[in-house]
Amino acid sequence: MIALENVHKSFQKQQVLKGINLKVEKGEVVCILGPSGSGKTTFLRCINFLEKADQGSIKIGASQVDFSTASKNDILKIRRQTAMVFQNYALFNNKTAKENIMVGLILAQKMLPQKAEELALELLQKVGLADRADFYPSQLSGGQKQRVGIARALALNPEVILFDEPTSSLDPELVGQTLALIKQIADEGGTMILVTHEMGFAYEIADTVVFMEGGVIVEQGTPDEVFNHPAEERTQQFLSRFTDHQKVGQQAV
Amino acid sequence: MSFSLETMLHALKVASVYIPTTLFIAFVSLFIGGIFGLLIALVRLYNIKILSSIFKFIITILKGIPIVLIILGTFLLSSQFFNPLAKSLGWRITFKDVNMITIAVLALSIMATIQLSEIFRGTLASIKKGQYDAAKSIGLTTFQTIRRILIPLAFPVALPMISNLLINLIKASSLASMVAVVDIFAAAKISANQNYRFLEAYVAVAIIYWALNFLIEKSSNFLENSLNRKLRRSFQ
Ligand SMILES: Nc1ncnc2c1ncn2[C@@H]1O[C@H](COP(=O)(O)OP(=O)(O)OP(=O)(O)O)[C@@H](O)[C@H]1O
Ligand SMILES: [Mg+2]
Repeated sequence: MIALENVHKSFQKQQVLKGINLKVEKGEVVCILGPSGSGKTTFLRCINFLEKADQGSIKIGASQVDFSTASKNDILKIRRQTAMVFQNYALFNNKTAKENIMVGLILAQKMLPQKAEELALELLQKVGLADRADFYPSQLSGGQKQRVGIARALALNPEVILFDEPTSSLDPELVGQTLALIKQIADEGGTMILVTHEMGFAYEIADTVVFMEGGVIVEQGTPDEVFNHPAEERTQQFLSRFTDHQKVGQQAV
Repeated sequence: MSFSLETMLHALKVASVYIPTTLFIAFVSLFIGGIFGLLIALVRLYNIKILSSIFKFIITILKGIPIVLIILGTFLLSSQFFNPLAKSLGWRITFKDVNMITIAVLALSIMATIQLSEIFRGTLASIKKGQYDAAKSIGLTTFQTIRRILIPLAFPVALPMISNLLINLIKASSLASMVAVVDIFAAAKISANQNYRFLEAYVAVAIIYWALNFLIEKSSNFLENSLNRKLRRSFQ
């Protein structure tokens, strides 16, 4: 289980996160929705300690860490139990698909290179890129890069995978295959927090939908509650901009 | 004025003997400069308090000083302060025992450190934020990130500038003859002093420096190509 409590984060004078609380059970899929600038990316980055939150705490399994007093070791420990899939893939440019997956295994998890390679190839197979193992990022399409990114995250066997708009940089025809892969990981019991603008997908995959605005969680509940019977006016207004997608979501029921 | 090929060849032979001295001064300085330059660049990249601004200040000052002055300054300062220092440390040597090559290496190391810290700072700064994020997110320590991710990304980009610096160090090492180091240049001058054939000696020196630089540039290009093959592929 992952529990975030009272997460605050400011950049210079601007307060971006104003006390976020979120619990994610093992195997649960949480989708975060919200307008641009509401702090969704910042929240994910705080969970992965890519940004250091000013206040609040994070609990993953047995480790409980206070953001304001986190030591280097705490940070490393949390990072090694969480994995991030980035909007712009963030693959290592000078490493092949296979090596991108192996680096973390060898350096962070101290796996033997040979075992790391086996696991990397296995995961590439899983994401449908077995034949691209020795390709550099520049030789891969956006969708392929994102699947390598997902394989890299999976390899670390994290408690939770954080997805930040994993399909928003992709050409429309590549979105489907990437979403299908994420769905597969969810079905296999992966715990994840996913920021997305794909309303239909969120409706289909989420156990819990969270609507964020202005650095706070405005509303949260099951997809049916949030999409079909939103209690808050701000949620209704936000969702009304996506009515087409919402219909897609309802059709999926 | 006549030009004697034979004298020139003689000067070439005399001066060539000192190629190792020149190369030694240049390479050792480059190596020392590489270590300190990288450290300074990393301190400034990670914006480590106080140290970062101290280095910035020192480098801004030293960058504007001609290398001739750095060599002479190093010589002067060490000739003044070496003896009292050695005495207080209980060493049994005096400044007279110090090999002048050490002074030359010290001076050129300062030059190399300044330049390399700027070279590394620039190339490290050009690495995209996503590469840092990815390294952190998979749980690498700062040291692992530097060694396994940042340096392999930065080095191929910095290589042409490093090879340029090496060429400049080789040329600058000729100034070391001012502090009584016998290098290629000094040896040629000494041989010319015997017969007053300076033109031949200078031509010989020019040929040697030109050949050295040619070799360095070629090997650097070769190394660059093999190192960059990956990176270039990733930026095409
Ligand atoms: N490194 C930073 N320095 C300063 N301000 C930042 C930084 N990162 C984010 N911000 C600010 O924090 C606010 C929230 O940004 P964030 O990226 O978390 O929003 P978001 O909800 O992910 O938006 P989007 O849907 O557009 O991705 C924005 O106003 C942004 O300008
Ligand atoms: Mg975002």
